[in-house]
Amino acid sequence: MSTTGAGGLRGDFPAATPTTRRIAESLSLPACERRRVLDSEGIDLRKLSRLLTKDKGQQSPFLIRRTQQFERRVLSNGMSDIIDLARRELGLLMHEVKQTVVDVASISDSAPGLNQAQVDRQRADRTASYLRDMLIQPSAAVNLLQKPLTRLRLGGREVLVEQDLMVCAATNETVHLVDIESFSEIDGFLDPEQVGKTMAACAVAVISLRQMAVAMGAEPARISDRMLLVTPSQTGFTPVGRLLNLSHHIARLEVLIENLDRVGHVDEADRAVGPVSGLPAMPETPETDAWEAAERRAWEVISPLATHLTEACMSCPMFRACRREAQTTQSVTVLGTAAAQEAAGVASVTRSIELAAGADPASPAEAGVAASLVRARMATEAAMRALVPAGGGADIADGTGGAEALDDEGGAVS
Amino acid sequence: MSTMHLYQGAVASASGLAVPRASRRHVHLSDDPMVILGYHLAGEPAAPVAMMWGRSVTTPRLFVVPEPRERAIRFEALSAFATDLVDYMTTARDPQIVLANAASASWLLKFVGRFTRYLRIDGPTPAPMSIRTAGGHLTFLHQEYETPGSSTVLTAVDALTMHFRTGQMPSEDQNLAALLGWVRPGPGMTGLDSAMLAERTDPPSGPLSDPEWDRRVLESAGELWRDAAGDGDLQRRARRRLEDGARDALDPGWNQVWTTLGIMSGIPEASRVAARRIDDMRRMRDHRDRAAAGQMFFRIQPEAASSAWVLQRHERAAEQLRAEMVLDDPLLMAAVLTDEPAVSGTVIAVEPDHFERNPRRHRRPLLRIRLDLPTYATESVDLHGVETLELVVQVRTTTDEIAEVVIIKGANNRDSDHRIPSVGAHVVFSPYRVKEFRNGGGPGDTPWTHVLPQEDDPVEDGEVGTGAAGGSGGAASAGPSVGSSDVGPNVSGAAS
Repeated sequence: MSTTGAGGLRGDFPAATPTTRRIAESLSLPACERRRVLDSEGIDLRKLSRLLTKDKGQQSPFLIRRTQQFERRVLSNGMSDIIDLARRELGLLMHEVKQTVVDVASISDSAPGLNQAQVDRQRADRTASYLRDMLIQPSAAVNLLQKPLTRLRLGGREVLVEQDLMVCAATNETVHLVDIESFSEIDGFLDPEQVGKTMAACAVAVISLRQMAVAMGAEPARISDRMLLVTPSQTGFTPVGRLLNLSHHIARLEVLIENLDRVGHVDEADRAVGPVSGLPAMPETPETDAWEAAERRAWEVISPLATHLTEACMSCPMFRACRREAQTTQSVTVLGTAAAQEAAGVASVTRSIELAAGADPASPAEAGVAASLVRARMATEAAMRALVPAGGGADIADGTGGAEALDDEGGAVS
Repeated sequence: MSTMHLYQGAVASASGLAVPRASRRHVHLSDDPMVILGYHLAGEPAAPVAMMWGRSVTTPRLFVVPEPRERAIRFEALSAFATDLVDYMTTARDPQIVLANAASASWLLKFVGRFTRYLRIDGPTPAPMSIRTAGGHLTFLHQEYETPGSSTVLTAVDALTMHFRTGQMPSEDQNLAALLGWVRPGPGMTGLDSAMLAERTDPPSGPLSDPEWDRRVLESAGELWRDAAGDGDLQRRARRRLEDGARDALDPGWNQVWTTLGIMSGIPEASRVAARRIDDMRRMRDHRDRAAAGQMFFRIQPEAASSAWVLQRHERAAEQLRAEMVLDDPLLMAAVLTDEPAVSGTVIAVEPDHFERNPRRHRRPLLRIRLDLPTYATESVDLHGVETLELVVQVRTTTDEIAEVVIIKGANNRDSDHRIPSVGAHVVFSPYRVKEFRNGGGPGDTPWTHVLPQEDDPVEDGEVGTGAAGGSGGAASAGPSVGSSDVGPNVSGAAS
């Protein structure tokens, strides 16, 4: 992912090291070629979205601080909280705790003067070497590894994946993931949406660790599908652990990753982009000629990449940019996932209106939708006649009445 | 979703204006509602930052918490709100709480209610009694919010989306400012323009504040407050600065909620709303009795059997509500006619003395109807009258234009002949019917999913069924006892 560098589709645009969360998100939108290609090029999506929509997409400083505080709390005192929870929830013995950190700071301290890519490579190498020890001579190895950076084969190439707040805890038999999240467990319950996202991200991490294990000649099952999720409990910061079984998520994502491999989407990306090469550099200030030019150029590069706007896209950093595009083309996808499914085969909002008004369908797919749309219009007209027996009121079917139709009927709106 | 959902969305998008999806108002509107808006700290629902509330658009009250993590300051700020809420819930003639959106309801009613209703009012750091009592009311209000058909708690977003279809995604409708942009676009603007502008410029109506506001207003006010430690004047100034910032941020949402109430009051009330409101008030009376007796107890971990009962009750209420709304509202019925077996049209001929054999001879009056649109109904489907609820009909023959239906119940003897529709009448028959009696049925059999192990069954920790209710409200019951005993989203061990 981040290996392409200048010359590819990314051009001079800023890169971002992909996280497990981002890869899981990308895999969950399999119909979106645009997201797939942009991710595989390691493009910083937040910055790209900012270039295209001027939307800053920032996080609250309080949320960032809270996340950091909880992480510090859990990792302090030699990770005693994690060790305690790992013993209790995972049943790990861990007679002796040997821990180490492979974050950016740990590399920069020992080898200053490296650039980002070099630091990442070093982190990945060290992670691999610790993992090898964990799998081959567990009794002597480190058994708590903080902030690993792992390798993942994705769509025919190898990418380095940031594991966020992840820790690997090992026993003689297996390596487990530990993930620290700052959303709270309330009365024994966690927000299912947050848990779902976390589990998908952790499944990506397990898959990448398993790929590494296989490359080292170890059984993939040595990387356990049971993980420990550490969250704050109730309204305070006391950490609680929960054992989660990732096997279902792993199975699902493995299929999606295999599909990517089969498609060989790197070639596809090159083909789709064609003669138009890379993205421009990120300009400094909005509302300048340089910004406008870069924005136009970026659109030229990404518009050949097909998208399919759904409501699931709302969590994607590119949502506003893609939505604007769909609004311009009057695609039915702007009406939401359910409506777009209902309109399968009809390209635009305008065309739906024409079909509802009785236009001849141009294809069998249109014909199916057209019959239903005509019914909807007829039923609406009949309802309006029933509501305004004199036949005077506005008709929503011709688009002139809209919200005002009710005011005619229901009197003044305050 | 349905074809109508697509059709109305397309019309809204093409015309640049939201279209009515209902022609009647299906919620009760109080003439003395209490509107509440609020923000909590990002990632910390237990830390309210600002709240705006009141009983008229012109007189909002406001509290801010310059140091949201400090318990004493939080209590001080919350108690003014709590006192007003308790007073309103105790004395209002037609109580109705109006919030901005579902997320606000979940935060304020469920979360804040949960963590205030069992606060200790004795001990070293006692909480004001008013906050604890307000917590009980909030919890009751959350139950009402979850009860289908109850108008005791409304959210502006739910009310608007129930009655209007915008030209954008339903998930985008969750932004009240954008939603209102479609329903009431600015002068010379389309709904889309208004919605996009609102999304860019309007501050959120809660419960999460704008990250930029957090950085610009909240953070600097907090610093000012901390720097002023011990200096009353400076602290007051810090608080005032935050109040100004909070008012700027919450005012637009405040006005949007009241605008929504104005729009709703312009829609004529559906005929079955009043009956549902009587149910609301009956539950409110029971709750007030419990509150007056100091008996507002709610479980922290719901009990299996009562959860099953509540679920059953809500399912029945949801079904009943759907039928009532469809029968009350020709426009909602239009969506039914589009996708479901139903008949709508004008009676062009009546044969009162039509007979059928199956195998005995029955008098089944026959209606010939000129259809508003072709029907999906087949011979074996029972359809119920909309204008005359007692009638049950079946289709016998149909073309795209004309259908012949026979009345199989409701007008089959001389005494009930007056129910036979006459020539020229517009009639609608649909699969929906309402039970005109209400509150039927107590708890039925508890489904097996909600049956806890009996006492003589081996239970791992021997603690099932004790503890959780009442009391301190603290301890999270982690561990294996958290199983199927909760109606809430249960993620323990969930792998899907």
